[in-house]
Amino acid sequence: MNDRPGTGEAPKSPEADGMTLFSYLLAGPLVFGGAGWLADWLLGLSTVFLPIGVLLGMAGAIYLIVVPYVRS
Amino acid sequence: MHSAAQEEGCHIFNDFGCGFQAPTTELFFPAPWVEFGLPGTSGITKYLLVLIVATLVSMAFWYFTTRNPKVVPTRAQSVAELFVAFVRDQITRNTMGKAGDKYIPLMVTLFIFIFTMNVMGLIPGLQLPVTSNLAFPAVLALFIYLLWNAVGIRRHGVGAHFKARMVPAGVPGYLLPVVVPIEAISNFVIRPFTHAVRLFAVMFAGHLLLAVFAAAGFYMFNPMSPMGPVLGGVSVLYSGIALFGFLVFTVFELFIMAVQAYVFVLLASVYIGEAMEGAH
Repeated sequence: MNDRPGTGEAPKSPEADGMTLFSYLLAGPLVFGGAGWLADWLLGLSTVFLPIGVLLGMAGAIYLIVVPYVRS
Repeated sequence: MHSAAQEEGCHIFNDFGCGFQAPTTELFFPAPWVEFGLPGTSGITKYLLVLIVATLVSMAFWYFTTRNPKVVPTRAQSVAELFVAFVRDQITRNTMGKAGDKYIPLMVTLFIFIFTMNVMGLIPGLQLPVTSNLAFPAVLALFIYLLWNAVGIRRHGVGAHFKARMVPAGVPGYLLPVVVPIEAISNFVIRPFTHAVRLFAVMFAGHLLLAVFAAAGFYMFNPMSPMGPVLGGVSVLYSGIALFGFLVFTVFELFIMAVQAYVFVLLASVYIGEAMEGAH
C-alpha cells in the first residue's frame, strides 16, 4: 500500500485513509450480516446467523484495517 | 433563503401567537419551472439554473486566466497556476506520482467546478449549492468510478485489475473467504457511494444550518413589539446574535466548501492511483 509509483514512501492523506476504514467497517458487517440474515431466512430461524455474521464481518474489517499497519 | 417565518411576517414577542418555524428540507426541492411529466424527472428547477451559472463561471475563470499565457505570468495567470501547482503537489503527485501528471487537467477542472458549485450556496439571489442535490455529486462520483476501473483494466487487464481490488496481499489463504467479500463490497459498492454522499451530505447540512441562522435572525427581529420597547430592544439583541452566527458560519461554510472540493478530488485521485498501481 505504501509504494506508489514514483513517490517512494509518500503517505496517503488521512482523509483518504479515513474513507477506506469507513468503507471497510461498513462493508464487513453488511456483507456477512446480510449472508447471516439470508441463512436465517432460508432455514426459518430468527437471528441466529445474523449476529454471528455481523461479528464475523466486523472482525474481517478490523483485520483488513490492522494488517497493513502491522506489516509496515 | 426563504422560510415560512419570512412569508408570514412572524416575529418573536408578537401578540398573535405564532412560533418560530425552522426552514425545512423544502429548501432543496425548489418548485420546477417547467415539468416534463416523465417519471423520475424533476423538470427544470433552480438547480439547473445554478448549475449553468456555476459552469459558466468556472469556464470564464479558465478563459480569462489563460487566454494569453506568458512565461512571466500576469496576476490572473498566476492564480490559475497556483491552482494547478496546488493540485499537482498536494494531490496527484502524492497519490499517483509523476505518472499522474496527465490527470492534472481533469483534477484541476474537477476541483474548480465542484468548488464553484458549492460556492453558489453563498451567492445572493442564487443561494443554492448545486452539490446539495445528491444527483450532481453522484454523477461525478460515477464518472470517477468508471474512470478508475477503465484505467485499471487498460493497464493490468480485467483479471488482474479485479484481483488487485478484491484480494489483499499478504492475507493467509484460510482468511480469504472472509476478507475477499468485504474488500469487494468496500471497493466496488461502498466506495463510490460514500464518495458522492460525503460531498452531498456536507453541503446539504451546511446550507440548512445557514438557513436556520438566517431565519432565526429574521424571526427574532421585532423592535416594534406590542409587548413594549424593552422586549423590542431584547429582540434586536437576539437578532444581532443570530446575524453574527450567520456571518461566522458563512465564513466557516466557505472554508468547508473548499475542503469538500479538495477531498472529492483527492479521493478521485487516490482511486485512480490505486487502479494504476494494481496489486498492493
